Amino acid sequence: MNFTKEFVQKYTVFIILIVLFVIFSIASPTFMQVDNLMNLLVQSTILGIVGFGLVMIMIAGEIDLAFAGVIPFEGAIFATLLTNGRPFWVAALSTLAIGLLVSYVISLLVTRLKLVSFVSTIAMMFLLQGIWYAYTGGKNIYLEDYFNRDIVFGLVGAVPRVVILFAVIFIILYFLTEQTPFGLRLRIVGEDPESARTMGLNPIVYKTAGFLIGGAIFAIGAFLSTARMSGALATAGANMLMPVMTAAFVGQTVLGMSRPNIPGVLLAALLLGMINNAFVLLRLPFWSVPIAEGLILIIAIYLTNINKRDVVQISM
Amino acid sequence: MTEHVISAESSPRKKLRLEGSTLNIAAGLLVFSAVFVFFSIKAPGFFTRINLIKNLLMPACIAAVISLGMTIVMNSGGVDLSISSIAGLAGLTSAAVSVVFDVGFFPMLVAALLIGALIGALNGALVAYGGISPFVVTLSVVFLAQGLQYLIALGAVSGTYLMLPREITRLGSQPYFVIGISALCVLFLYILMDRTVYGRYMRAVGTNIEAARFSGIRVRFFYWLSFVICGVYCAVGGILLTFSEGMSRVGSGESFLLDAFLLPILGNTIFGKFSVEGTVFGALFMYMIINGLFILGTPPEYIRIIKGGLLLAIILVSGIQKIRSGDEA
Repeated sequence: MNFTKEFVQKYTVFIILIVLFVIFSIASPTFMQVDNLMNLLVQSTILGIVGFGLVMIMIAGEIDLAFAGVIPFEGAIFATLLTNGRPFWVAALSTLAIGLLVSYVISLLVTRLKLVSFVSTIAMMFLLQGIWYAYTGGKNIYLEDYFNRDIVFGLVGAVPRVVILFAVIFIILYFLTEQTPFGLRLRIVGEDPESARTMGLNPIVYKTAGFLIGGAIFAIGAFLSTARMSGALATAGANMLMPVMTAAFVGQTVLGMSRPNIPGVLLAALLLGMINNAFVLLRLPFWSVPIAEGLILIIAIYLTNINKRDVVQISM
Repeated sequence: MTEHVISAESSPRKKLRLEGSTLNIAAGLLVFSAVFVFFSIKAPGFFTRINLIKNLLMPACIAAVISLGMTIVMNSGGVDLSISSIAGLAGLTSAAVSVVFDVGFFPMLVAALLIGALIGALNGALVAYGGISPFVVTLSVVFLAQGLQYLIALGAVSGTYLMLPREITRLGSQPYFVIGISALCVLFLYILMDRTVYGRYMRAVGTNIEAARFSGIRVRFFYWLSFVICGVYCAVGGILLTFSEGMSRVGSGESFLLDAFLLPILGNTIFGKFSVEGTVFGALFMYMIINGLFILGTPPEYIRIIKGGLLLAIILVSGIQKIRSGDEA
């Protein structure tokens, strides 16, 4: 009995993924084609990469929702620099610098002033979204003439470059978090800062490191989403908030690890991307997509938490 | 904190010393009145009956009712990210019921409250009895509620918004209707939280769940109950929003998600706990600032900066308070 429960906990999401995959490939002949599978991966890429950034911060025991404000803001800066005729690398580096700066400010607020990261980053998100409006005057900035999408979405063989980037980031972060001493320390700091302190680890250093890594990854996400839409759009961040949070939080539960982890985010992002993709191919009405996503997520998290009896509370 | 109270009771002279929270409340009220006086003098048309009721009180009421739901959930240690989706879904349900079945006010109300309570109960069951993090549960429910909104909007008419019958619109544009219903909600919740044993149980669950369990409180039930109340209050907020807009559209109420975080936390900072009066104070305070700045000519894009900056300022204050009280201890 206990074995069954453990099995269910560990492999539910795999099973749901495989079952959905089989159903979709039977129901829609186009689903299994390489083009479509690549399209699916491209669709999950941005969600997954931004989710990785969020999870790096969650591993350090904090959370950063400011990405929904940082990403459009960085996109706007990137786009204005390009349209003003600056070279590509200047724009990219400034984007990264802005991202690191914002993350550093947040980490100061959280580690030095001991603010609750959940609330302070929500505040940051709204501040940055507001600054986006003030900076761009509420207008989208388009980049068709300044930026060649093939740099990002061009094919290497059959695989779009962005998918290779996704895989590389995944592998690096997987090894960083699960296989290196740094990852272990980051996790200890996240789970129990007091014990970490008595072990001689400085939580402030590790939390700051988590925020900075997250900020750098958000900058990559901002670059990708700007490239994908060929411009800096107002909706770039707000549309991403809920799916990314879902990928990060559901990823926490899916492998039965009950802690934030990188492979879980990948699975959750793929699950969401696949439902989106297949429902469009099957020509199901568009309201069924969020309902299906909601139901599948609820079932998945219920099954993976079937053993747990403790009540989870959050302190504000 | 408790030691402080005991010593204050033991000697009558010390009773006069202001406690930290009393000082905060006094400071909060002082700032509130100062800002109010400032706008009354500086912003032309701010201190008129129609502006205060229509532009300040009505939106503040709707925000307050939705935020009260969040207050109750935060008070018992949870968080509900689906509040704005519940509000939107409930508003849309009430509109659909009225359009499809051609019924009056009360069936609309009942339908909306029912759907709010149901989604709240689902949230609560998964969180309190399933032992899953409230973040994960309520995020998943956001998707579900959004899909249901599209489904209802498409099923009732083929569009993304529904117009309401004229008598409902007329009712919704009556400030006294919106303010009256909100006042009833506030009063009911205030009595429940501050004057009944159930409110104490819920606060006990939020303060120390282990201690509450050992005192024989059914912690899971009261944790669950807080989510149900939250769902119902979001539904009421959704109805008020729908009625006052005169139509219901998919995604209405989304803008209240930030308010629902901001107002309880503002109240918590000033009143020292998640409380009904704190949230109401927060709603009045924030909408006064927004209204006043609008009149003074601040462009609407800056509203996010104002809200975000306000939230950041509030938690900075509470963070400094925490550090200071930590030093004293």
